[in-house]
Formats: sequence, C-alpha cells, structure tokens
Amino acid sequence: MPSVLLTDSISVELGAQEPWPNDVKLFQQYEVEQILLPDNANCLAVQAFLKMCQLNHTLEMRGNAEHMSPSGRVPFIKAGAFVVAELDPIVAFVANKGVTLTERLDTTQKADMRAYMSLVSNVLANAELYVSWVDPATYEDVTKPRYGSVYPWPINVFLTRQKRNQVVRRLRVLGWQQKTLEEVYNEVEHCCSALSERLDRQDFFFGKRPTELDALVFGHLFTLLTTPLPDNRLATIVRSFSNLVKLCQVVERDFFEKTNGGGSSSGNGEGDYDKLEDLNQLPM
Amino acid sequence: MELIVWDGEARYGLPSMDLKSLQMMAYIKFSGAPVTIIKSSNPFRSPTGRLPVFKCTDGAFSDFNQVATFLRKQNFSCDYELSPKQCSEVVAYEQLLLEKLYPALVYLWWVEPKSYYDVIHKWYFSSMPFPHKLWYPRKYHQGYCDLINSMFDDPDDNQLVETELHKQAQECLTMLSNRLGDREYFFGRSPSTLDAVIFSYLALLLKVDLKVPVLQNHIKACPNLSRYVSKTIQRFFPSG
Repeated sequence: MPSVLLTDSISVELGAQEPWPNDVKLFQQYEVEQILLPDNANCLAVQAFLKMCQLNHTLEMRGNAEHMSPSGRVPFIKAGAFVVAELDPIVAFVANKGVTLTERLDTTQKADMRAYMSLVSNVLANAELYVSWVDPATYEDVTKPRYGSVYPWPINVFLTRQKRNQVVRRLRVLGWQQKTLEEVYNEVEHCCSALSERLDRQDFFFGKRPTELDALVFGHLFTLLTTPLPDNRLATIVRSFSNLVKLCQVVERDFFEKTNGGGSSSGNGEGDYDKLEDLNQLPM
Repeated sequence: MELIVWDGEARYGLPSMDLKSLQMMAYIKFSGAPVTIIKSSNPFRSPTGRLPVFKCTDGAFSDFNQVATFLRKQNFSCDYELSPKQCSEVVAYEQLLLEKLYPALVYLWWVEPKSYYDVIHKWYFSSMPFPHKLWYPRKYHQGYCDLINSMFDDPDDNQLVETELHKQAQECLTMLSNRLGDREYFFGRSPSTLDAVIFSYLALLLKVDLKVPVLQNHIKACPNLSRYVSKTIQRFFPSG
C-alpha cells in the first residue's frame, strides 16, 4: 500500500530543521554553448522563483549537470545537505522552510494556479522538447552540436543519440511525437491564448505580487522569445500576445536586472536583456 | 450522428467502463445534441481502430476535442455561459487532470498487478468477442506500462511509483473538491465541458472496486465529490 503521509511527514521534518543556507548553488549546463531550449526554460523558471522569494543563490555551470541531478533533469539546487531538482520539488522544499509566495491566495486560486502550471508544463515543455529533438531542422542545426559540445568524439555522438531516443520515446507515449510541426505550433498558440486570457491586464497572474506560476511562465516564454532557432515561429506566436510579453519584461526588470551587479552570478548573458527590450524593433 | 462507446457495467452503476467514452457521452448529454449512443465491446470494426468513435458527416473522430469542435459548429455546446477567462480555466484544468490524475488512474487500472488481473483484465476478457479478447487487453496493458515507465527513472521500485502517483492524485482530488465547494457544477448551475471531463475521471475512480481502494476512499471522504458523481449519473444516465 502506498504510504503518502509517511513520505510527506519525513520530508517536512527533515526540511524544516534548518533555515535557508548562505551558500546555496543552482546547477545547470553551460549557458552559451550547451544548454537547450527546454532546459533553459526550466532553469530560468527556478532562478526567477528563487529571486521572487529573495533567496540567495549562486549559479554554477557544469557540462554534466544533467547527470549530476538526482532526477536526471536540470536545474537542481544544493542547499546544505539537500539536493533538490526541478521546480515543483524546489517549491515544496522552500515551503517547508516557511517561505511561500502563495500565502494570500485562497484554495480556489491555488487550485487554479496549479492547473495553469500543469498547462504550461504539459504543453509548452513538450512543445519545446518536440522542436528541439523531433523537428529535423532544429535537431541538426542546433540540438546536435550543442548537446555534445562538452564531450569528446565519439562519446558526444552516442550520448546525443541516446538522449534523442529517450526523449522521442517519452513524447510518443504522451502522444506528441505523432503530431506534425503545425499541430505543435497550434497547441502552443492555444496555450498562450489561455494564459493571455487569464493574465488579462494585471501585472501578475494573481494580483500585484508574483507567484511560482509567473516564474514558470516567465521561464518558458522568455526562452521562446530570445532563443534563436532555424524557424522563429514560436517567438512570433508568443510575441503576438502583448500582455504576456509585458509580463516577461516586468519580471526581467524587477528581478533580474537588480541583482545583475554581481556579474557572474546571474548567467543569463548581457545580450539577452537588450534582445527583450528591442523586441519591437527586431525584423520579422 | 452516432457515438460508439465501450460498454458499461451495471454492477458498478457505470454507463461505460472507458474514460474517453464517458467524457464524450457526458459532453453529448450535457449539450443536448441528438446523437445515438451505441454500446460496443469490440474496437476492431471502428473506422479509427479505437473506441470511442464519433461518426458524423465530417468523418469519424476518436479525439474528444475534435468531437467538441464539430458539435460546436452544429450549435451544440455546453459552454454558452462561460466567459473567455472560464474557457481558459477549462483548458488549464484538463491539463491538470492529465498530469496528476490520469497517470494514477491508468496505473491503478492497467499496471498495478492485483487490480489489473483480477478486475480489469477479467472484465475486458469476458466482454470482448473471440479472438479479439486475446489481443486487445494485452496491447492496452503494454501501452500503459510504457507510459508509466517513461514517467519514472526507476520504474521497478513499485513502492516509490505507487506513493508518488497516489500523492499527486490525492492532491488533485482535494483541489477539485475545494474548487467545487457547495456548487452543483464547476461553473454554476449547468454543466460544462470541464464537468464532462472531471465527471469521467471521478466516476471511474469512485465506482469501480479495485484491490487498492486508496483513491476510491479519498473520493468517498470528500462528500461533495461523491454527491456530484451520483447526481450526474442519476440525472443524465438514468438507465445506465
């Protein structure tokens, strides 16, 4: 029989014993040469979340970050004796220490927030995986050279092929591998339309202060807007929703520019900021 | 227009034993579309190779969204009273159920050995004609095992898999219960697409007695959810 209460109470007990350490590190792949679309989205989302909670952390880039992670996915944080990977477990870990962005939300709003987070994780994340690993143009031009760039030949060839098989298998059981590229773009548009409808004219999805949903949406949309791909359809689709672009600009301005004085700590790259502001001037 | 669905089971009080069939049947009843519903237990003859299948002038569809779009074009919809924001909530909640509840349902029915062999396989085996009964249940079982295996890095650790799936499912059910509150349906007094989707999940989890009754007990412990399922069955599926 499953022991849900036991695992929950163990994690609360262990997590609550210490406050947030001073030397928390966030691990991801190399920003400029290696990281891919879906991983970049997740890493940015976690960085945004930690900045919104005002929890100090430093960014560490490692070529084998994916293999170091306990769940096999990036990003992951090392906080004292704990290593926690991916946004949802990190949110739960941070909540165990008493820090949360959603205390003023009622149960209905929390349920809605979780539903929209599922929407983003199911649609945008899978679309990013599809574009990176299944679409032949992007796979040959972008994914293949980047993924194996930190390894010597011939292991870079094997690892890339192994990863591709794994991703394609996963997308097949979820029903995404059989879709055409056009259908994937339609799903992304449908998802952005739902998010845009919900955001409406507000600053953030739930009022004047951001929540983990804003962090997750920022991570994915900022990545889609600023990553150059052979076919820029995804960026065009996101750009057509002006309130979503505005949300990204607000999160970037309020949480990423302020702490960029440290230089190496926020590894988003100076170039990215110019790109987002010049969005309207980019030729399409 | 006709809809061919998987057969139900009177013992459990279910109009159909299949998730997607229930969703489509519920949507059709809620929107009042004049569609004949035919019960079947053999997907072999279906034009798409799967059940349920919706046959109309535009062709044959097995996908819920395609059926809903077609009916909407014929002016049969249950979402007339929804605002655009509520429509976007419908999209979001469908994904929430797909992420949190669907894996648990699929696991409990098709992967967990005790329930699969004693309850589900037995039902499909006894309902389907020879020789299809020898092939289809095993094919579905394999497909769903692949799905669950792809979600976990260590799929052989049954305890971990079960605990994680149940945890997500219970959180989701509690959220649905809180969201429904005292209301009759999720968006007011008349049922919508979201109700069709949620009803199908809850009916299957509540009504079928499996060997691992954790989620069934959880739903029974949320009185508004059990009441929601019983009232919907009573009102829209009185004869099963």
